[in-house]
Amino acid sequence: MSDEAKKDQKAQAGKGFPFTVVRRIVQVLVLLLFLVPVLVAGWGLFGGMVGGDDAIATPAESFPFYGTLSSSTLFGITLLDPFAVLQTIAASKAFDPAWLLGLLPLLVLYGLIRGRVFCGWVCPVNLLLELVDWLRSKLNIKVEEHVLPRHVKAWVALGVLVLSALLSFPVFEALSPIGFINKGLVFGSLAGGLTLLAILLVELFWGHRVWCRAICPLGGFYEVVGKVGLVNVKIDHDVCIGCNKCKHACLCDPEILDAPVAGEDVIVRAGDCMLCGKCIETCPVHALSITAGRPRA
Amino acid sequence: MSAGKVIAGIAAAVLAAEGAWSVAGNAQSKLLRPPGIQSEADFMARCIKCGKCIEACPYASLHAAGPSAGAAAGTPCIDAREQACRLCLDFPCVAACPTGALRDVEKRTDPNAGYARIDEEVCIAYQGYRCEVCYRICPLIDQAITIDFQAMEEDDIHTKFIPTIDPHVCTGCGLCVERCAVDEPYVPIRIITLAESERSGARQ
Repeated sequence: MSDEAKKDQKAQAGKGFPFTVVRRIVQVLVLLLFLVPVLVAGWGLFGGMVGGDDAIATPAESFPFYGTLSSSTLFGITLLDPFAVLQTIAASKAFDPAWLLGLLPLLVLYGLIRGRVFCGWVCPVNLLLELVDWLRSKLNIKVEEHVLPRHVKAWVALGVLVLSALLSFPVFEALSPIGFINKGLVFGSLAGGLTLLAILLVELFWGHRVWCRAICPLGGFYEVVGKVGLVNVKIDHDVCIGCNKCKHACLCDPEILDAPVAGEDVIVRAGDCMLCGKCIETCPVHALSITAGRPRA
Repeated sequence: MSAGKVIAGIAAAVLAAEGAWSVAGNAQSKLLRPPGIQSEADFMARCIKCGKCIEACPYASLHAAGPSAGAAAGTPCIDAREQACRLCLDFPCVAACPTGALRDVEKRTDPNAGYARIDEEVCIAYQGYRCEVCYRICPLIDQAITIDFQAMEEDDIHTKFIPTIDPHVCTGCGLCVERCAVDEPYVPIRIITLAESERSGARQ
């Protein structure tokens, strides 16, 4: 079979897995999941509930899951955001084995798949900024594509830990725009609101995805975790035509596709990849796919 | 300079102001905390603002501190006059805390969120009225609040029933503040929170 025929056959195999549609559903479901306990208990959103003389049903008891992205409880098992735990250790200069137990489920889950799967599939700020992307294109606002190197966020994460130790409080937990959306809805916390405002300004008028790509310390933490991970985007060099459309579609940073497209690597190895699947959906010749394991370059 | 850079500068300024406010506001915070706080500094170092204590409180007494609290914004606190802590026997808020910001509470006498103080100028018991609302509502009646019988000046028959707080026993639940019958010109009983007493020195 000629190369042309091979490509045609692949193209006819259909568009493949609808990553963006499924991801959007997951993002919205995760956002709503945290609201279910407070709604089921009849407390309503934004923390407006005030009790009386008698004990009332609580979100903690009304549903097998409750909490926020910093910590939640699922069927009695405590889940802790690993980066929040690191900040707490730095701020309190203390350590409790229970914290390790609490962070393991999420760290193992994201560690086994890919660190920044959190960013692509769970984080409500990413969901909002994808809306900003759409809005910007509708309003025809042009912004710079690449304003800060992607590794800056890992250094911001380290800076957050150092600052947490110096100031003795978990610094990102106090300023997190993720917390503003997630906790604002669940119990009315306004912490991090100004951060989100600053991000929206920057995203709309300065740089494309600058927060998620280069600044967010939680993304920086998960970038480091993402150096390993058994689910990866694989490239078929025989099929790739080097059109670079995948790079323009990439939600993380175009440069993480440089090595695979140049034929230097068989997978997207950078810890940044959040498995959003945009590159796979965009590729006109279906040279990209998801693979299990980490084949060598 | 491009418009984009100006926006970036404004955004950076907003972030810097937010960070500075976090630190400054935190230093002035005197919030009333749920049971299980060990010290305000220890609490602030451990609390990740997950809100699970808020979601676990059967009396919905806990709410998130507002933005004026600086770095403490989003941490759990109690407005005693609106809805005080009921000192549950099983302390679901402490049980819900994943980082030990709230911890080491077993008995109702263990919490140490602060202590109540009465303003003698406004409390009607000091004027000779029988009230004792704070005394009767106190979950630690006859321990944290007792009645001190004092003879009235220039009166051989009547006695003042003065509610007297033991600051070493009082847990700072705030139920006396919620139920106090007086609110003009102001509520004569309030909680000196742990953060406040730490800042001003030991309990007298």
